[in-house]
Amino acid sequence: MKRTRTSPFLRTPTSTRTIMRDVLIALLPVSVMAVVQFGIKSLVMMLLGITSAVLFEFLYQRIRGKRITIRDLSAAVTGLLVALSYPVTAPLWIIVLGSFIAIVVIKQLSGGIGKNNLNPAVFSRVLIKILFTPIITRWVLPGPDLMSTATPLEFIGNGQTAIAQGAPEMNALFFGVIGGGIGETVKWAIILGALYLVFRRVISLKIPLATLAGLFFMGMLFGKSSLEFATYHVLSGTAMFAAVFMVTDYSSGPLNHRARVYYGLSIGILTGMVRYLFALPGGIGVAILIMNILAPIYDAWFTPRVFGHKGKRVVIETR
Amino acid sequence: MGIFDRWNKGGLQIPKNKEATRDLETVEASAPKLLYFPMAMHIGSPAKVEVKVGDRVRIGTLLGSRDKGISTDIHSSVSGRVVAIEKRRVFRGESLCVVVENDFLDECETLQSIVDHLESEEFSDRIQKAGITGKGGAGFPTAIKYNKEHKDVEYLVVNGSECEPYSTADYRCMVEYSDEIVRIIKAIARIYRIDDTYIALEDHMEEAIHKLQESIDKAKVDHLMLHILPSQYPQGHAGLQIREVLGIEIMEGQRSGDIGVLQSNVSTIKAIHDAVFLNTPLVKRIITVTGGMIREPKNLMVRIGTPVSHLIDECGGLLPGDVDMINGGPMMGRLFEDTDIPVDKDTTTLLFLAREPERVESECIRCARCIDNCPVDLQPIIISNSYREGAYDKAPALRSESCISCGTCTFVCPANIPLLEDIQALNGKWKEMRS
Repeated sequence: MKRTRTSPFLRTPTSTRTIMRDVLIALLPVSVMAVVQFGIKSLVMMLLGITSAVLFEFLYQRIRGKRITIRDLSAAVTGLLVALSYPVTAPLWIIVLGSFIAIVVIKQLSGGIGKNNLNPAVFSRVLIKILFTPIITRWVLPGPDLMSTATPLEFIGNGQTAIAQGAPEMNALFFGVIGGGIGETVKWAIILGALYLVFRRVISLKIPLATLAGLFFMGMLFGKSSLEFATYHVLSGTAMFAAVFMVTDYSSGPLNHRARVYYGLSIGILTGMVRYLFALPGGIGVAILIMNILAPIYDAWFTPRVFGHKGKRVVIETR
Repeated sequence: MGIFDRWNKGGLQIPKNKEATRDLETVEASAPKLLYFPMAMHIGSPAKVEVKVGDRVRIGTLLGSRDKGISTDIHSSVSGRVVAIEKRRVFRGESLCVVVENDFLDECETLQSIVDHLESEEFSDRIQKAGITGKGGAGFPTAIKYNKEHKDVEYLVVNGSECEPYSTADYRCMVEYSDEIVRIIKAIARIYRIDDTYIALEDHMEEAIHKLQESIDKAKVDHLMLHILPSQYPQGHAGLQIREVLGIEIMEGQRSGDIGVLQSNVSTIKAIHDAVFLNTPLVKRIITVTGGMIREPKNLMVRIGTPVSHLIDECGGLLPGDVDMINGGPMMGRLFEDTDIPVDKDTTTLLFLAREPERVESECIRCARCIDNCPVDLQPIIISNSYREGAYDKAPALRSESCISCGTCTFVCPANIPLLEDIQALNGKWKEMRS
């Protein structure tokens, strides 16, 4: 039977593919800086992340007889995010395993794009951290010698209320002269990517800002109102990278705009708490996963009031 | 600079595509040999046929008269002879039509001229006798509004925002008839003792703003203000516009009259002017004939009852290729296939677009663009999911019946999910369940 077509007859040129392409473009500055900082192995890691993620998605969908969706580029984004979160010293098989967990275990077993309520890249990162800590935390400084180093987080986390002696300078944090995941260290490159995403209306600037504001607030609280300590928190670890590229993930967060902002704020606050209370430097990953689970509550709370209606009724989304 | 505009502007920007006809002066369309007058060209009950086959009619002769309830009169737009009274396909489905054969003599008959200082009863009676219905697209008989709602009217809001892409009929009306519009607004304000009157239009309508302001200054109408809205879709929606202009929100179950607001489309206002000051009933209107598939897009002054095919010829015909013929704008208009259909009182635009290949729906990625852009703050994707899961009883909690059918959600969806269709389907199912 022919379905009658109905209005609107105009459609936006934006598609899932163009959105994911924009995210890849936004990841370009950090990707380039990864190679500049940590050498050609970073490039191998990134390409491996992308190809393995795309391949896993293709194979899974082929085996299960589902529609192949690798052309929407979302698997490529996930694979790149996975690769960018490891230090250059990580063995390459870790990247492949990371892609597998993200794409197959989280994304596809939940039912594919939009169906997963946990962030694939974050879950994969946290799980691998728990399983393989010594071999994926050999942090090195940028440069040809790959000198071992401690990450800045080790100077401020775990109950500390001031920046410990010997910590890298604030400038070094901003320009990425520190140890860390290959894509997470250069803050100006992350900001550049964020601005591009905001300009292309892929994300709302309020979400990463709220996340970092939450973390900043906790830094002020634990650091006895030290602006320097709080700023140091914002610039350390994966916080900024995750605030821009993970907290803004459509699938694992709430739907309503206001809910998304408060969800981001909560992630920031929770990150600060995890960093302070536990010997867990990767606090934001845990914070994101916890908030992923609580996202429907944020949506319920921030359901918008419909025009012409007093008050609102809450419908908790099931998926 | 474009790049900074993009940072600053909020809201939804839908390509306007008005350039083709925006600056084209309205031209009189030639009259066809046969005209078809549907007795159902308004909301409510169809008019009762008042003529027989063989009757001679002139321009302004009553063909159909108001039936009980919501209804209005219908007049001939040509002189000639009634040759048939038959059921035909029209924009509102199927309707009894009076078919008039044009003798091209253009003999006229006008309404009685009315007293200078008329009061609201005579005024609304005149609107009824002139057969005026809302010309913005809804087709609601105007007299009912002006009759029922005259009790405590505080504001008059004239809607000139014409937010549908491509349409320029209201725009041309404001540019070409600014004096008439201002004159009748002045009269309405006097009759209904209204202190504040507004014309709402969009910021890109520079020439109309300029012309109307000149007319206001010339006529010294100090209660009339131009309210300039940003060019966002859908500014033309009655309730949203009243909130924008007056800061009053019409609550569910209320009509604008309940809160002391009279609201009319600018072309309707012009028709009221003609009825009151020129004693002519509504027999013509401006129609924008446009779109990529018509050779010469035009703003035409068209006699009501003219078949679409005649107007296509007036505009040089269609280009070869598959064409979507749309009655109305691209956001809320409806497809039609039969070009013998006559235009009626609320035909604003005839749009001819190249048919695009069917879009393939993909999975929702939860980008929430449909939610962020919904002008009445619904959550379209959740409504759509509820429909697809068969959870029809969620309709009231999701307020799905407050949907204004503007089509924004479907427009913005990057996964091509027909959200508006799903919302309407859910509302349909919910209605079924309750009855």
